[in-house]
Amino acid sequence: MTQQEAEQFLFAEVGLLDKRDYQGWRDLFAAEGVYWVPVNDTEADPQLNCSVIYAGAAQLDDRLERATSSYFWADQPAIKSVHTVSNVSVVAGKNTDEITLLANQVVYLFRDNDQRRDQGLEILPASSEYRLNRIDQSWRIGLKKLNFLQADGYLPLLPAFV
Amino acid sequence: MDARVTEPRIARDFDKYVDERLDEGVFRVHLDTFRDPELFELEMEYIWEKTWIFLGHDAQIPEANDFVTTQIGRQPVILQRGDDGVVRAFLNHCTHRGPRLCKTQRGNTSRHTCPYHGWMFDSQGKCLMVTDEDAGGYSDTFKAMSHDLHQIARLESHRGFYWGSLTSDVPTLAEYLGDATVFIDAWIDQSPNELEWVKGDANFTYDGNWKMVLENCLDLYHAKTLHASFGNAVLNRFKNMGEDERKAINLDDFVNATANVSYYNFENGHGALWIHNQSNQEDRPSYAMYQEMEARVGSKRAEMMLSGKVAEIFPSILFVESATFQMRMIRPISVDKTEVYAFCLAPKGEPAEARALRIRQYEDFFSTSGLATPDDTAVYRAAQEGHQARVLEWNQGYHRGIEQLQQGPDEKAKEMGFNPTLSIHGSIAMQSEAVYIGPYREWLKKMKTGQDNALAKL
Repeated sequence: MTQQEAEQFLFAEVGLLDKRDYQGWRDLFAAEGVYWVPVNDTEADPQLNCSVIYAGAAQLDDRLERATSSYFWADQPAIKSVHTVSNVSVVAGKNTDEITLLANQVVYLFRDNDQRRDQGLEILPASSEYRLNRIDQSWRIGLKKLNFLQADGYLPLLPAFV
Repeated sequence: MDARVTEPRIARDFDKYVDERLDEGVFRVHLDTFRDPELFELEMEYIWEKTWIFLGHDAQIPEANDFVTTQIGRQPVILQRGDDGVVRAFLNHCTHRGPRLCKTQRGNTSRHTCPYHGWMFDSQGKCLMVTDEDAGGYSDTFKAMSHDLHQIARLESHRGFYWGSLTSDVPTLAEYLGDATVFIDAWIDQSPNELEWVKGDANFTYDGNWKMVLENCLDLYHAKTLHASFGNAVLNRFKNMGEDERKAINLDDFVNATANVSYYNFENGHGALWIHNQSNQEDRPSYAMYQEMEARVGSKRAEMMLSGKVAEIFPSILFVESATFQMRMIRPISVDKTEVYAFCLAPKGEPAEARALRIRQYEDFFSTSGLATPDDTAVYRAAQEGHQARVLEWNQGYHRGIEQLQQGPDEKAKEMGFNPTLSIHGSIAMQSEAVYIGPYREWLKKMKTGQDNALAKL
């Protein structure tokens, strides 16, 4: 994967989140794919420590159901996002069908049509790590790990996927 | 002792805030208790600084010199295991000119050095150094003073759970907790080796009054509506997945009203609920140790230990077992802002698979981006905003289950041999709100006593 292909992949991925095309975003994941947002210590083992999100296939589907239901009260009015991605680097994987991407991200969150017009803009800088697997000629997400700079502090209400 | 400078104050008639007329079937709380900033200041003084406040658990500070920082009301506190192994609680305040000494949420240190002028204290709170003392031209009066960190008036533990009080004018912790310990112990006893801390906080801060989260944890009525998306996700899991994979607590008990529930009030404002004959108990992580539990404590007690239940220890700590077990420490910030420090405790020796299941269930429900807790957080803010309707004095919020109130224990409490002051027993569909009577009676008592004592000092 070239630098440009890596960047295009990440831009497209976060673009789906910003469009709230959560089904499209969910489809990027490999069957065994994991979406991980750690809390406090971003290096802690997720099998021994609680995370903000540690979602395999079942939990991704749960969150997708929630994202598209009319009962996601915390997302009413809807939380809009803008992601910027930078500092992308490509790290070779174990074989040609696996690759790791490292990137910095800033996620901006704001609610549409909130009655409180003075609501704050939430700004969430993060480092991120993606493990991609080539399956049937296309790259799928084996792991998306998002390490918020605020992982050890206050986190605002988030959309179903960030 | 209360160290406030005594100034004249206008006496409030606190009876106006809690309208309890049970013979007429009425129980109401005035909306000012959620929105009046001056009343919030009085709550800090008359309640939070005059009673036992939960500070932390042994498992958070296992090693010598480990500490966590917390608050009593809004007063900064360090809970530290000294280099002698003894746990103490100090005000997080340099004796000299007052900077907070511990700046982190947690850590390990044998020395607290003030960054301002360099005074130094050990992990037992003893002052080791007054910088340049000999050349300081100090008076004999100063030299005769203790410069040690201020230990809070009382610190006691119930089996590793530490509560502290800023005043010595409190009953013993055992008297304070009373029979509510039957609930606390139902978690502690889940392992013969007691509990350990599973790291990874699920803290949240909400734009609402501190009593909202206290009420919410004893509220089954909101589950079907506010947590509908959690319920739907779980139902889908049951539909789409095999028995081995689903592993989530279903909400059939709510939808089909198959379970019964007991609510209790205890002395000193504590409340509890306990769900009986719940379905799919085998999907709780603690089920992995059920046989051992049953052999050790008997089947009735083991069943209680496995059940969905909540204990509210007034005013500062909630033990919540809905999807799984979570501790919630309430930290009031202002009348309309509250921080909840939430963490996971689990039985020591739990099999790895059960532990991983516990962690996933915990995240499912409780995480700051879980499938349930964010909806609670959002609704507290909505309620706080709604309460700005100052034309209105009262909610209609506490009437469910009021006809089922009984004095003393229900049959379930009698079976287990504990003595609540009030019980409410019925179908889970009742979803009683009368359980708040106990906490608000205590609120009223503390506010009145606090005011009487403050006025007596004038």
